[in-house]
Amino acid sequence: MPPILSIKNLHKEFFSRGNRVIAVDDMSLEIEDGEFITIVGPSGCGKSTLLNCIIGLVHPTSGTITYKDKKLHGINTDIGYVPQSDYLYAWRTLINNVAFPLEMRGVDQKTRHEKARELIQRVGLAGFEDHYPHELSGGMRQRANIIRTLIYDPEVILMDEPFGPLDAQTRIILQDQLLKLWREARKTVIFITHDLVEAIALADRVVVMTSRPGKLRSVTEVDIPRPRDVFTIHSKEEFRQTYDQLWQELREEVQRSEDWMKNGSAS
Amino acid sequence: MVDMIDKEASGDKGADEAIQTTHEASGRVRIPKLGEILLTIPLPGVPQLWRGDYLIGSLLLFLTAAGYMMCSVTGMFFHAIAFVDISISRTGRFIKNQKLRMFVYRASFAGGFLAMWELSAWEIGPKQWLCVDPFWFGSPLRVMSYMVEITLSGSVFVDTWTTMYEAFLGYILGAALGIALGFILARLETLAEILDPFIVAVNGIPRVAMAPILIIWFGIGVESKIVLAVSLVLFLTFMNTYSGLRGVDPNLKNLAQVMGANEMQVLWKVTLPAAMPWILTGLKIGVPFAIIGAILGEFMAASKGLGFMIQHTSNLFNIAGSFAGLILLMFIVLIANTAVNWLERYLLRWRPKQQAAGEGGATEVY
Repeated sequence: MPPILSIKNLHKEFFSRGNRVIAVDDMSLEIEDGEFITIVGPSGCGKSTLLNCIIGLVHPTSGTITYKDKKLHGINTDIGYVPQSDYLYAWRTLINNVAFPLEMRGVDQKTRHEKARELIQRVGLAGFEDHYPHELSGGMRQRANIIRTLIYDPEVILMDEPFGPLDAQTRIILQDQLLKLWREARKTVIFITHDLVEAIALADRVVVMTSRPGKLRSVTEVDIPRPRDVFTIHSKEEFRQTYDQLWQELREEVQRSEDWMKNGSAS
Repeated sequence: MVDMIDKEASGDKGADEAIQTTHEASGRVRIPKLGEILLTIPLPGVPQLWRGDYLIGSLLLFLTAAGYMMCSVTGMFFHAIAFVDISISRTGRFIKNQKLRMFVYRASFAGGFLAMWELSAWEIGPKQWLCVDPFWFGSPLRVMSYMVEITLSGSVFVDTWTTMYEAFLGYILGAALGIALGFILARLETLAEILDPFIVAVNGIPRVAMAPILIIWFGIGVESKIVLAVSLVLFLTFMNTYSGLRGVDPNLKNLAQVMGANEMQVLWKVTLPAAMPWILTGLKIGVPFAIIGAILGEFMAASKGLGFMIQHTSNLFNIAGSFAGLILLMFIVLIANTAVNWLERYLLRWRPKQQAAGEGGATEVY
């Protein structure tokens, strides 16, 4: 089966205060249909730029991204995007936020509300349909943020540290819910995170990126059978091995990134 | 008191004249009494208003006003006055309904103020020594009787309607143009940048200075007043709409596009509601300015309208008449503000309560 998404020699640079900054450098990656990929790397290594290139919000300087054998031009609405902080629309109630993508596609109110209500129920937000975002907790908003992307059934879902701002307990619960949703829907997911535990617990393959400029350092298969239990996965032997190996790699990159920042500020 | 009686005896003249008269009559220098000296001190401001005859009345009025202000404004800061505040709130305890209680407090505040004003205008005593001269300050009853007079003659309806008509039309036109211009320039970035200094400069022209030309261009009818109101409201709504639209988080728009919105949908479903708080702030600030525009035009040249009425009555030294005009204006602004507040509460019902209240307080300063 051909990969659903393939990135070839992706290169993105931009100018910031007259300095050329390379965000992503010569990145190549093939993503299979239905795969769960997590990307880890030191902060500022161009992970978010990579995602923005994939959805089409940012044009790569060179290199190509092919989606289902078609070269990407502009925004690809087959790809869903869950941003880091929940950009829920403050003037819409929960149900209208979740139903937003369907509304944009001209689905009538009854159908889209039915679908939204079903998803809201599934993530345990039933009863909050008519609440405005400011009346919801951070965890609730993040759940809404995710199901808003699921509702229109995109083939590929990109997630940019969706659980970053949440507390540890809420994170684990949401990871668990995400895995369940993924198992049912069988979407392709590209998931960016800072948290190595999260990366391993969720992924089929973990991609480690180098510090600036962001290159592909390694791709590691995670051999932990599914369905996984995110609450107990840390105690598994396979998990520990993968964790140690990846941490070794990541630590070097984080160290390099630290040095780079020190030198950068010194010069 | 003795000074006062002394002064009474010396006839109908002012206090300083009284001293001189004493000198001439007796032929020798008499040391004036303390009261007499005090009465000759010219007080700053408008001397006639505060001179001897009305000293006590003025003092009473001043003390009442000061007392009211101390109670309401500084009450929060001074412990002793906080005690007064607590006492006030305890007096009303028997009224269980909180809204009703607040209404009673406010009604008694207004009633007390009006009563003091009225009483201080009464001519009590042998001469007017306990009053402020109603010639300068009017009095609530005089204002009321003038209101009745103009109601019976029907002129109040013409004047009020004219001003409301000018302000309303000016407001609607100015707001529509301002919002439209805001939308257009928020879209055309280069044009906006070119026009920026000109817009700031034109907006910097004081409208009073523009009024004479506008009267020449548009005549002394309602048109010139509408244009003045438009010129004030337009910039306010334009600036707010423009910066509101420009300030919308681009992530919100990008995300909508990723979720499948086309450009029109992004504009109507994301950009507009996201900028709505700013647009509404512009609309709220614009309300009193529409009325300022109308009144300003009427001051310049007009044959009807509340501005005309206020100027006309004050030219005739009919202070009560001017106060009647001011009170009518006050009510118009109150009603218009209430209407816009309703609109805001409806359109921004999604906002946290506290935030909405804070913004409302800030704009009411205008």
